[in-house]
This record gives sequence, structure tokens and C-alpha cells, in this order.
Amino acid sequence: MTTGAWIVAALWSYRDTRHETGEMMDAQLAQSAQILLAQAGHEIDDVPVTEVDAAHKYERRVAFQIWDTRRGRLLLRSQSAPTQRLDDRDEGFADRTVDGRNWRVYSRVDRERRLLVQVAERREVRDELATAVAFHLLHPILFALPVLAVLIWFAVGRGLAPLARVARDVAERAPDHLAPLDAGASPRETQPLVAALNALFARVRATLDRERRFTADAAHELRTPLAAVKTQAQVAQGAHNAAERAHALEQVVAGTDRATRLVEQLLTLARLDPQEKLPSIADVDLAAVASAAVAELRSRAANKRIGVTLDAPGPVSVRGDATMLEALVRNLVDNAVRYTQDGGAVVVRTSVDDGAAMLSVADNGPGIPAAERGRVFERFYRVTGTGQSGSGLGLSIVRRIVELHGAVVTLDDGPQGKGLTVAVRFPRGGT
Amino acid sequence: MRLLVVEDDRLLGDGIRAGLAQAGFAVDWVEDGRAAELALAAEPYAAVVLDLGLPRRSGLDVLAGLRARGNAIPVLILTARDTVADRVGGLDAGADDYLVKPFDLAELTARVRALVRRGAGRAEPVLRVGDVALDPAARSVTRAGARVELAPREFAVLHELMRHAGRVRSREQLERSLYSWDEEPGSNAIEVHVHHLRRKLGSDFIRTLRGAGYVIERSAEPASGPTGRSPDPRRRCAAGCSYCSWR
Repeated sequence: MTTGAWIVAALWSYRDTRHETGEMMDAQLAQSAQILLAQAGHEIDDVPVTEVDAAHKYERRVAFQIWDTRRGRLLLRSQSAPTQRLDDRDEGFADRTVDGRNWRVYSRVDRERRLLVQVAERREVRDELATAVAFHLLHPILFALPVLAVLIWFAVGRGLAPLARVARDVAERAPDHLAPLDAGASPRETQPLVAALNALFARVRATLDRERRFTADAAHELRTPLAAVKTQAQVAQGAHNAAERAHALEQVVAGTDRATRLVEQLLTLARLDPQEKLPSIADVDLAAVASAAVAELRSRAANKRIGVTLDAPGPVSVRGDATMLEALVRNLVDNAVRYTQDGGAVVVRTSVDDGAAMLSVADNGPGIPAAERGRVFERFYRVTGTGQSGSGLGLSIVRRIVELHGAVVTLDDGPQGKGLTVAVRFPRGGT
Repeated sequence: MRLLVVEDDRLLGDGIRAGLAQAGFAVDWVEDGRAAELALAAEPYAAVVLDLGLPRRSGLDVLAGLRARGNAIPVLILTARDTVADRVGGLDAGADDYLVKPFDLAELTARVRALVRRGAGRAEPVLRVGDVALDPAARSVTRAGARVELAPREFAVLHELMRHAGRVRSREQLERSLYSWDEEPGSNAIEVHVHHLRRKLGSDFIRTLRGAGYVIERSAEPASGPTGRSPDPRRRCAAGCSYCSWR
């Protein structure tokens, strides 16, 4: 870049020098012609052509001729000048080529004395001069360039050293090394970069920690049903009688069902977890979704002689993801049926309250003590003493879906102060 | 031998109970830490199989409570967490052994047997008194090298008396260490079993001390091993003998 700029500058000054020296030398030519004309006396009038010897080597490059205009005779010429006329014209400047040489010619005529003076200078002189000037201009640059290059390289390198250090720190990290970079050790210029990187590290670390905890919890939660299945299977193998074997095999099936459900819930949560917003948004009729979920779980409820009532008088429109909303209702109704004692009652209600869509699932089961209500949304948290083998994930899934829909979920006592009511309030006018 | 299983998962608890019963143990199963403490205070268990994640009172708390009261009963921990920290934590809290879920039923019963044996200060798995040898793992009894066929309950009575060879076991003690809560012994069941054992092993192998109970005298032969003669004090606790309640 620098070199390029310098070369352009040198070319420009070469042109400029040529122009200026051209004008200056033209003026000299004109002056020389005037002096020659003034001094040319009659003493040369009738003499044959006289040649003037060169006194200086540069004289070869300048030439003059003095002509007698009346007789068209060459009176006097410099050694360097050709014998023929340099220029046909009598006055002014001209560029001419005579005997293969390029001349800059100035002609001046004295009409009274009938004398014509032509002064010429080789064009190469001008080119050489301009080139010399341009080269002299370039000289310091040729020396300065390498020095400058070294200085610039050094300065840029020094200026970028903190960045390079940050880059090296980041590059050398193991993928799971997410400790913040030392912000104090970095210069002010890189502080925003370091701060941004540290913020990113913190976010990635939080995500990784969450994933790790989740995986550990999931593995832990799967071990117990697997242990149950294996133990019951081995009990069946060692059974002393048919009844004992049949019982153990029933337990194997039940354990497998539970492990399956746990895996399904884990997968649901794993799919929901990374979502930052709903994958697809549409107008969903909450009443229809609730009705479908109730129909699906009715037979299970009937096994426990639990009556499930659906109170959904009209369509309730919610902006959201239909699949997720189905999972939401299904989990809530499933929980209610699971934890309510035999012969209990579950009421599923959809309504519009002050422009906001509402879903509530109420049961008259054991309820959740107020102190534990905050914790039941945590993963794998189970209310103790229920005697039920839930996955501990149902309400985590509910909370995640609720979050994604911008809704709010609250836990309350059930009807008549007994049992549990889970209420979900969607944002007014949809998400 | 009577065991306490503490496991809050119904399917697993039921399986462990059934599996240990198949191996000849009398098993009581409770589902939370508080119930475990009550059971441990009331019954003469030979060992405890303890899950760690329990409602009401965690397995580690139950364990710490036991050890704080000086109860040396062998404890095997069941854990779903398999990190070194989890395992070490359980052992350091006073557990004698641990198993990570899911485990093998045969391994569980073998470990329980080993814990009971070690708790009694014995290294030799086979119990010997005179020419009678009892192998708890194989559930077999030989007399002078010849196999003796015993009903499960007869085996259990013999095992209990041989474990405490040289000490008198009352009928009530025998009942309490051989029957779980859901088994009701007949009023003269122990007498009947002892009667059968005498018929099969010789009438003087089990002595009756009127008004006190039954005893199998320790043989003078080295077969019972030196440790058999000077029982580890923990043994009495593990067996839930009268010393424990006296303490």
C-alpha cells in the first residue's frame, strides 16, 4: 500500500518536473536565441559556414544555427548542429527530428538584419533531468521503506498482542474448560471482547451444567425401574411355585411400563429443553385439546373408578403449538388421575377470563402441601408418601410448555379445600 | 435369618423382598426412613438392605443414626448413583457394603450372607459343629459328610442355633429371627422343627434347657474355628440377642 502510494507520488512528480523543467528550458532557449541574435554582427555576414567547437561535453546536446534569410545561407552553427535547417519556420518553438535526433527548437528572426537564429536542445536532456529529479525524490523512500515496514510490522504486532493473547488462551482451551478469561490482565482495548467472551462462556457453562445434571438425574432415575425389572425377572426365575412366578412376571411388565413412560417423558423434556420459542404457532382450540386428552385417559381413570368431568362450554382460542398443548393437558390430567385415590373425581375446565384463555385441572386427591408446591416443578422431584411411581417429570414438562407459551401456572387447593387445582393462564390475545 | 429391606420403590422393594425370601431369609420391607428406624428398634435383624433416596428420612440419616447409637448391624446400601463420591460417602457413613442399581439378585444375597458372616467375626462360610456342617449359600447340611435333607424352616432353625452355637436361644428369640411380620408361626412350630431336626441329626445335637430355650453346644474340635469360640461382641448385636436389648 505504502509502496504503491509512493510510486504514484513519484510518477506524478516526474510528470510535474518534466512540465516545469520544460517551461524553464524553453525560456532559456528563447533567451539564448535573443542573446545570439543580439550579438550576431555583420562580421559573420560574408564568411562561409563557421563551426563553433564544443567547449563542454553537454554542448553536444545544445545546438544553434544562424541563417542569412536573404540568401538562405547558413552563417554560423555549433558543432553539434546539423547543416540543414532545424526548423522550417521562422518564429516560435517546435519539436523536430533531424538526422534521427529529437530536438526542441526555438527560432527567432531579425527582419532588418535578415538574420535567423535557431537554438535547439536535445529532447533527451529534458527526459533525463526529469527522471533524475524523480529518482532523487525516490531515494529517501527506498531507504525509508524497509525501515518503515519493520516499524509498522512491529507497531501492529505490539498493538495486536493482547488480541493474540486472548486468541491463544481461547484456542488452547479444552472444550469443557469454560472458566472466565482473566479480564484484569487484558488491556483496555480488549476488555469488551474479553467481557463478551466471558459472558458466552458463562452461558455455555450453565447450559452444559444443566445438561450434565439432567443426564446424571436421568441415568439415576432409570436405574431404579431397571433394577426392579431385573430383580423381579430373577425372582420369577427362582420362583418356587406358579403363583409366585406369575406375580413376579406381572411386576416385570409393570416395571417395563414405568421405564418406558420415564423414557418417553425424558425425551419429551429433552425436545422441549433447547427450544427458545415455539416451533410453530397456530390458533389452537384449548377446549378441543382438553376434550381429546380427557377421552384418552378416561379408561385409565375408570380403572380407578375416578370420574373425569370436562367443563368446556365453548371454543377457547390460544396462540400456540398444538402438540405441546396436548402434552400439557395430558400431563396435568394424567397427574390428577394418578395421584387421586380410587373413587375420586377430576374436573378439567377451559374458559376465557378477562380475555385470557384459562385451563384448570382440579382433583379431590391428597393435594400437595403448600410448602412443597414450589418444588414440584423441579425435575424428578416427587412428593413423598404418595405411593405412586410417577416419573417426577410431568410437572417439569408442564412448566416448560407453559413458559414457551408465555403463560403462567399456579397450584392451589382443590374444590372444597381438598386436593389440588392446577391453573394455567395464557396471555391475553395469544402469544 | 431376618433381614430388613428399606426401599421406597414398590416394584423394586417387592422384588428384593421376594428374592431374599427365596434365598431363605425372613424379610421385612419398609418404604421410608422413619419406618426403618422403628423396625430396627423393635426387631432382631441380622442385616439391613438400605436404599439411600428415601422419603421422610434419608438412608444416610438412618445409617448415621444407627451408628451413633452404637448399633453395629451389617448394612448394605443400594444406590442409583454410581460416582465414586456417592459410594465413598455411603461407606464412610458406616455402611459395610454397597450395590449399584441395577444389581444381580444372586449377588445381593451373596453379599448379605457375607455381611452377616463377617458381622459375626467369621471368615469361613460353612458353619460346623461336631460332624454337622451347614452351608448357608448352598442351603445344604451334611452330617459326617452325608447330605441331610431339611425343610426350609428346619434349615432356618438349625442355621440360627448354629450361628449362636454355645448360647441358649429362647423360643421367642427363634421365632423373631425366623419369621417376618407377615408370617405367623404356629404356637408350637419351633418345637415341631426341633423335633424333626433331632430325628435327622441325632437326639442330643440340640439340647433343650427347660424354661430357657434351645442350644447347640459348641464342639471342641477346631473345625468351628478359633473365632467361633470368642465371638465378636458385634455378633450379639447383629443377631439381635438379649444383650442388645439389655444395652
